[in-house]
Amino acid sequence: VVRRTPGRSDKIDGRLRPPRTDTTPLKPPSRVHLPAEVSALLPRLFATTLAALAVAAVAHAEVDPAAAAEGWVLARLVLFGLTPLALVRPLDQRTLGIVSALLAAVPWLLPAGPARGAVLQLGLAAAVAWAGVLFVTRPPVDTPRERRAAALGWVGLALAAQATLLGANELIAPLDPAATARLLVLPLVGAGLLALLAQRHHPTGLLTASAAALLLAPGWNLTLLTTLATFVAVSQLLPSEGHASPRLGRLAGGLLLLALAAARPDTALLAGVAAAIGNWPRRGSTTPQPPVLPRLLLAPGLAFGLLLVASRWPLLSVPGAVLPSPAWILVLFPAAWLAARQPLRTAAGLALGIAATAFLREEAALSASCLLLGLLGAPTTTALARPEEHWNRRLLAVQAASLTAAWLGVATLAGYPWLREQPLDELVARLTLAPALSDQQLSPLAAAGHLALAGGLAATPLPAALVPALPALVELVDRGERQPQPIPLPGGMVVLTAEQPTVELALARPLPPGRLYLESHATNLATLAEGTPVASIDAAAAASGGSEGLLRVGLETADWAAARPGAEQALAPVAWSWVPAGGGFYAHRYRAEIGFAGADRTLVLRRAPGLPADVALAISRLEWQR
Amino acid sequence: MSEAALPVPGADPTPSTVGSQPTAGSRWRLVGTLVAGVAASAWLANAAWLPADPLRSTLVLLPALLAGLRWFSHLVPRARARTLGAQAEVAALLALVVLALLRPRLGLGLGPQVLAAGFACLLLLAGARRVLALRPLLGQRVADRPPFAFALLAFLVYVAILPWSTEQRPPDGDEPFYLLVAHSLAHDLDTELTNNYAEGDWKPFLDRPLEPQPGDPRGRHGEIYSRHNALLPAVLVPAYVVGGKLGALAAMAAIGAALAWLTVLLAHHYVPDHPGEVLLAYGLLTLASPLLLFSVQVWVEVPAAVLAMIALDQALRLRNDRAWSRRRWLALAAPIVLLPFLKIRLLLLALPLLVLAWWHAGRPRRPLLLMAGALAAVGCGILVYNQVVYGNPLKIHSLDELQLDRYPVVEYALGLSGLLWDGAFGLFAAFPLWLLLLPALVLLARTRHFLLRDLLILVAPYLFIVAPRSEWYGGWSPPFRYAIVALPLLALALVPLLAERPGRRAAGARALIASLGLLSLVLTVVWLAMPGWTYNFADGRTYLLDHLAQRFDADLARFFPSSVRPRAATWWWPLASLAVVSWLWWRPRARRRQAALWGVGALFATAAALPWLAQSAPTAIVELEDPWVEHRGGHLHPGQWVVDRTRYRGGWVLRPGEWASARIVTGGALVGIEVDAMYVRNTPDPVELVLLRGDEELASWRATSDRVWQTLRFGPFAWPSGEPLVLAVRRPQPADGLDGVIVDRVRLAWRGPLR
Repeated sequence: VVRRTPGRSDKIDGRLRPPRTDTTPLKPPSRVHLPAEVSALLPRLFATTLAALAVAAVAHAEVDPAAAAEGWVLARLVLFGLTPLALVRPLDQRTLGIVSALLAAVPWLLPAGPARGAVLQLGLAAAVAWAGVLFVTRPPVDTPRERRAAALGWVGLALAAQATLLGANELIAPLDPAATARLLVLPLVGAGLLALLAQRHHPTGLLTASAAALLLAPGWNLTLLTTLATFVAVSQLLPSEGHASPRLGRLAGGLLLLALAAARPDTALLAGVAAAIGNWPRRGSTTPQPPVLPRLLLAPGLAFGLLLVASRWPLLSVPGAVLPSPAWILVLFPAAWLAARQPLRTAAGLALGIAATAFLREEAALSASCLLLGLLGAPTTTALARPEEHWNRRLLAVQAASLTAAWLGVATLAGYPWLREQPLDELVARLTLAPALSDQQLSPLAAAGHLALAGGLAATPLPAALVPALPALVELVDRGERQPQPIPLPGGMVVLTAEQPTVELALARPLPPGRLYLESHATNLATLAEGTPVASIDAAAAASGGSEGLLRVGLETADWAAARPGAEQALAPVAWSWVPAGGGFYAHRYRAEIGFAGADRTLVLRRAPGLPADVALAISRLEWQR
Repeated sequence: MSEAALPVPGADPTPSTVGSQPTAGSRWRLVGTLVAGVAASAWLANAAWLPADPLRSTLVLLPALLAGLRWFSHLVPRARARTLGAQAEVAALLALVVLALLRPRLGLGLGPQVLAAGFACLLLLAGARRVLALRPLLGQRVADRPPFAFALLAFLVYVAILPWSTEQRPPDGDEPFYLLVAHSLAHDLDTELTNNYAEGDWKPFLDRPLEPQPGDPRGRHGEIYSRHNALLPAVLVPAYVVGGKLGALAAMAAIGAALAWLTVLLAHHYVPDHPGEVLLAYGLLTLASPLLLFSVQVWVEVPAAVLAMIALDQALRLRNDRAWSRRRWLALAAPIVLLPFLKIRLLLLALPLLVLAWWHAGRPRRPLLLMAGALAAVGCGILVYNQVVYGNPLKIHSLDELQLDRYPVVEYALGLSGLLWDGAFGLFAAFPLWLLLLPALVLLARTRHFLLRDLLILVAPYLFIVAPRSEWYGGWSPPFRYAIVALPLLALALVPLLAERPGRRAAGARALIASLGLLSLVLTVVWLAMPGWTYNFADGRTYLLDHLAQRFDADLARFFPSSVRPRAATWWWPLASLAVVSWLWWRPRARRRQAALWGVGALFATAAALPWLAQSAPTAIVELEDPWVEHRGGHLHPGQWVVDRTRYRGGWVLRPGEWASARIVTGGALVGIEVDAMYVRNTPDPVELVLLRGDEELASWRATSDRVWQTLRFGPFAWPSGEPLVLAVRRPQPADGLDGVIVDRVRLAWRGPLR
């Protein structure tokens, strides 16, 4: 028995090797015969799982109990976030190895603390994003084997995204059935739905849509799955490349839509309208038009510029009713996918998207609705599979789509380290046009602007791509001159107790009016109602409306263990979090922003009178900003 | 398709990866880009809005660096391809820049070291991508004059790490003294440093006071000179005058880049038929420590390697043409003669080079005599000059140092193995992928490749002198300092191994390369992000292992070799690594692409086992000064900065009332304890060294003999696992005084089965 291997080119040697004839007899087949897909996955799963083991080994060996508790969270995060990426086959073994090694090295090298988790989670997010980009840029699938691999890819991405977005919170406590379902079952269902949609729609749009939805939700939840199921149904009702769907498919889609309408009538209604728009007879060529980059980037650019204008000149800010939320960005982006010569369809898609923002204001799946509406008009799989016949700038679209997803990703991740309790609320607060966005809130947007700049430079020579980035750059430069100035605290930290209720801080120079930022945490606040003042900052006068220089329970500060199960209390905006020894909950330090009318030479920190004797407040950071 | 029509990488690049050929217009655009990049960096350097942050200088350099990369792309068509990887690089760079700019306000707690690690990782991966892009330039056979792009890429990589490296690790060791001599040459036109020390001329490049090194030569009237020769500072003077410290360091980066280029040049002589493998060797040399770490530091080793390789190239050219032209004479003799001017010990490189030139040139008598005469004249001149100016022909050295018979064989073994395996100073510890050298050297020996002969002739005499010295590790420097001169030939030694069939494509080799490569990548990122961690103290420990030992409260260092503090691992590591690496390379010969991931998994499994082993393997030796030992009072002996510290037995001084405690892992039913200790007596009242098991006193020793190392034997005792061993010093009679006991180490001998 002989076997022949085909000739192949060696990248390093540069020589094309002739077909090789191997005269060695083939070995008899082993008794245990694994399918090729499984045997190819085994080493990938082996390497990633052992990366998690290497992290667990650190957690096991740590002497500091708090560091050990945190280490176990990280080990589980790596297990749930990294291992699924082994299923994404376009992520080649070299990249998988590098990602695994770098992520596994983080807990070994960095000291315990929130920064370690943040680095790990940022690394995981980058790995998931890169796997997603590779997944959508892979060659189109043809064979059943490739389809199976693609389905596994969706599963891997869905699981990894879920762990990256929710893992830090879900994995603190031992996994209960509900958390297991959230981490494993929901993504699996989502992946299945996406795989179904991928049969008719190109993964680029799907991934962009689902990534945006996942970031905003965050993670897979029932609402999002319901919405996706709705769109699977709608997708079955829509024609594909000018041809009607098979009757059976349409019937199944219709039944699914009706079933969903019973549970979520608003979503189903919108989906039904979308299906109608999708079925709108097309005029002219059905060939998809190339997406034009300026159109893609102008929308986020415009929204971003308006955000900046609104933040710097509050009087000129656009009323919230006109621009209710970042949904504009999400609506305008997919609208650009609609055929350029289909103004009615475009307008209808836009109107529907805006309507969706009104109807589904509170829904976590808001972004999915908007993006998938646009997706329905986007080029189909077959069209993108033969780009040379349609348009040859497919890569451009991929870049724009993935970079827009990255734009949202950075904005989300930068604003929501794994430490935040209410990431969605904070993100919406950042992206909504509130009249007084602080520098810290705008920072992620500046970061996002830079990413858009990167996308522009990488994707096209068009100077128009710079449009969304320029305001960000200007803002960034301007803000650089307004860095918060730290005010030194004696010994690095001030603790206000019943024995030491007042601390006077001598200022090196007078502080003009501006803002004060305090990082603090308190103890023994369990008996105090939300809003009870704990301490005050006694400068000349505090200027911000309502707060008057006060640190109040649940608003500007809170108990460090306010998240402990059984002792939950209102949380103030979180600055730092860590897992205390024993694990099971996050301990927090809080950051407050207080308007400040200026101080001459002294700043007085005063514990509120009448508090229980065991209440103490630690202020660990104090900053002033112009 | 016939064999003749097969595509050649250099001749038939695919359209998707190759841009258009450079035109006059593109050249002007390139010049414009370079000017704009430098101007942008200059503008950023003075921008008040850029935050004063440890990463500031890195951000300032970025535009110029990007312009340099544009230059590289201009020279290398394949580097111009707009692949997904290239776009990911841009996106990652921008993300890092944004994170660096907004770091204080993001609330993520990202320290500058974390972001520096990100930049380092990106630099290494981008560098590796560009190394592969160089492949078409080598064609089917390595040319005798490699393209300039090979030097440019190395220079750009080295310059990229310069700002952060210098920011985190100001010139240290011998470096500031070289810079001070350069300053003196530039401003005073002499090498006399008395006025420079007095006037604080070191302030522009150092933020701590600089004083003459102990033993620096003095002139007849007390003038202060440096022990270091003036050739390297003289070379750095123009760059120093133009750019100060950064200019001088950039000049060193250029010298390092020249070394990388020369390595490819030498490949033409040794392994011309394996251009792909030469490229891999070039990549390893350029992007890996130790050259990466030394490239922006002022040491003579890299320039010495450059001179040696120039001379070797000329010698090897004689092997082919035997043409003794005037230019050839100059190109061969000049580097050989200049080597002793860099450092007198480099005479030991010059002589073998002379021998190699004579050998390769067909053993002619006249050139040998002429060059030997020139070398002798230079050597004598240096000796006479030293005698006249410093009163010592060997400057600060003595002829005793050349008496090789005064060193026992074990010193040679420790020095030589330390250069390769030592956890703090060895080549393999800093960059484990170099472990491939072990089968590579075996292969060279097996095939009797003349590269091995040249390597041995070149470096054997030099290493023979260096290895037994107490400072074999290079003093206060990054790892592998003294053997850097051999690095280019060591890199080329890998080529035949990589070119073997199935060689690097076999399952074992893939697993080996993947696991060692990833470990090397992580370590290199650490070295770049934390440059200080490459300057280990010569006490048998390393910063990295100390960091882990403190967190795990366990002795990790015992599993790694140290030639400074010899232990079992010092001897079994060389043997085991040679056996394991060679076996893995040659035995599993099946080609399995996925084998790399099995190797990566094995790496993680080994890493996971390490802390467990450290915490569960029976304790055999406790070095009291180690970080995992808990101390209540006491201090290190001798101090960390004691000159020639390796000559002393390191220990921990305990005075009355002070103690040290170590967690013991039981290895048997009973334990006999030996303590190496020295009593330091300053008062008539003796002190007692007490041995405790937790709180329970087991034995005591009343110190009597003053300042004599003694081995104290206690036990045997039963010892429950986890019970701490405590050594305390007490004084039976209350008295004042600075008496104490220096404890070097505690040895535990376990007996009987563990119950």
